[in-house]
This record gives sequence, C-alpha cells and structure tokens, in this order.
Amino acid sequence: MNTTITRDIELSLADAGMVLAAPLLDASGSMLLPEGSTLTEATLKSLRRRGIERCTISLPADTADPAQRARERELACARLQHLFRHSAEQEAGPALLQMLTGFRNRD
Amino acid sequence: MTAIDDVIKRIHNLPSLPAVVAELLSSMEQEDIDVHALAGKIALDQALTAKTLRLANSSFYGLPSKVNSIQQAISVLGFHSIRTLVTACSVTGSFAPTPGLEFDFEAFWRHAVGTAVCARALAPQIRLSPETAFTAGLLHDLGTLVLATRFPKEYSEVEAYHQQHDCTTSAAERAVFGFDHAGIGSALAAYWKFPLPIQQAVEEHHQPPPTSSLSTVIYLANVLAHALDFSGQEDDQVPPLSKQAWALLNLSESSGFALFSEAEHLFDDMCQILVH
Repeated sequence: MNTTITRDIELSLADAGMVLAAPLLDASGSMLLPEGSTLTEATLKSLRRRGIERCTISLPADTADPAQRARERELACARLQHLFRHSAEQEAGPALLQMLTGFRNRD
Repeated sequence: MTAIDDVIKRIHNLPSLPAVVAELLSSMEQEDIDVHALAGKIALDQALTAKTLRLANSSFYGLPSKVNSIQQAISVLGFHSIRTLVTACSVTGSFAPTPGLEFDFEAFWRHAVGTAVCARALAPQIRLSPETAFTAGLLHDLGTLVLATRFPKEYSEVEAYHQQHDCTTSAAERAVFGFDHAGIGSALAAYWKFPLPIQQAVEEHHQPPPTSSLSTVIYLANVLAHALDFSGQEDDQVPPLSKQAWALLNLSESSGFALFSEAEHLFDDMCQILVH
C-alpha cells in the first residue's frame, strides 16, 4: 500500500523535509545533491541563489492525488464491509471494524 | 468419515524438520545455550542459511550493512531472532505443493505469515516474547496443510462446502471430517517437538482460555490477519472476535493504528522471502 511516486516540481514549491528522487545537477551537469538527500531550508536557499529552477522529489503515493485517494478509501472500506460480512454484528466485531475503518481512512 | 486417529498416524509419516531445527526448538526452553555450536550446525544447511540471511538482510531489520554468515547475523540481530527466522524458513519449506492438488498454497502461507507478524506485534501488549508469538502464529493453521495434502479427496469436499455455504474453513472441515485443523495442527507441532505453549496455542487458536496467554495472542492475531486482508483471497472473511479477548488487548485508536501499520510493513518484507 505504501509506495512512492516521483514528481518533477518547481523549486519554489519544494519544502524543507522533501526527499530528492533524482540527483540535482547544475547547468553544467555537475552534481549538487545526490538522490535521496533531504532538502533543508539552507539547501533550498542555496539552490535558489544558484538559479536552480526545478527538482524531482519522491512522495508517498497516498498524498499524490485527492480524487485517487478518495477512490482508494472507498474501495478499502467496501472491502472491509465484505471481510466483516459475518462478524460485523457480533461481540467485538463492530469495535474492530470501526478501528480498521478509521485506519483505512487516515491521512 | 476419516477418524482423527488416521490423521494422527499420517502425521507420524511426515518427514521431521531438519535435525538442527529440532535442536533450535529445544533450545527455546533452555537457559544455557551453546550459540556458537548451533550457529555452526545451521550454517551446514546451505538452503536454510541462504533463506535466513535473505530475511536478516531484508528492509524489516534495516541493517546498515549486509550480514553474510549465520554467526554474523546472530551477533547483529541476536540469537532469538535468528532462531525464529531459521524455524520459519524450515517450516515454510516443508510442504511442497503436490501437482494436481487444488489447494491455494500461496494464500495459505500469506495468511500464516500475516498471523505471525500480527502475533509478533501484539505480543508486547500481553508481555509475551515476540519471537515465540511469531513462531506460533506461523504454525497455527498447519493442520489444514496436513488435511489438504494427505487427504486431497476429502479436502476438495471441504473446499466445495466452504464455497457453497460461505462459512469459515473450520466449519467446512468439521462438516466433512468431523473435526477441524486446530487439533491436527497441535499434533503436528508436538511431533515436530515445538514447546508446549506453542502446541497449546495452535490447539486453542479458535477458542482461547479466558486468561491472557500465548493462545489469546494467536487467536487475536488470526482475527487481525483476516481483517488486514493478508491472504489475498477474494472470499476471505473475519472470524468472530470475542469481547473478552478484545478487552484484554485494551487498544486505543492510536496504538491500534500503530499496530496495523507495523504488521503491514513487516508482512511485506517477510512475504517476499518466505512465500514463493
């Protein structure tokens, strides 16, 4: 369920804490930062000064697209209902179902 | 109907686990263990060693550099972890799919590994050893494998009943055989010389005693493994969850989420190596 996707974005949209999915190169092709580096405020400032305009970052797949995420949640909840089809009304079944529904819907 | 004694007899015709695994199992109840000697014996089994090292080097353990030998794996991860991994590799390798047999081995092992990882995650909540819980979780449904591989004709009737009634595997087994896999699994655990608490947990995993114990952990782990949809079977279902067992866990929402997350991550890593 937890896979990452890569996004090519404008540097102005990058935040500290984001992780590079590809090495960041300068105009002449020299590597400034390797793949896997975490961007900090300091590195972002320095990159802006150098005139770097874009970077490729990796994102957890579930933050990618809200509509996609909503669809995934719907499917996950429907699947839970199917799994609990014989136990949703007995004993602690409802309690577990409720907790798992919350889990599948989490951010 | 097949008498339960016939099944027990068949169990005694099954191959034993490798000698080194039997030694590892008896070490579970000893305090004074010759780790070095045991490590040497494990290393003699190349296939077992290779699989164990792949698990030790998986992202679950997140080791900064790879381990290349059993001795090294033990010094980095500890003897108990390696014992569990070796046992898991040996058990999952012991039932080869029979050609022509219509039994979903992959789904079976996915659920077994799923239960094992849930048990490992749950064990600290009830102050039990995560390694023992993992092993018991892995073994809990082995009785089903015995029935499916040794009594294929009857087992296809079980599958048919199961599909027709949309019931649990146990209910279908009881309808066809007159008994279910719990007692069979515990007889196999005894034959393979697993410690008594593990044998009991396998026996009791559908109906644990009211006090908290390994049996309760395995019971809960089994329910959770179904609820987390680990087997990948379309018609899977969550068995009944007793209020008493759930209350023993006393899970808050945040610990519940953390538990589910941990189980899912561990499951992905373990499955890649243990399930073919």
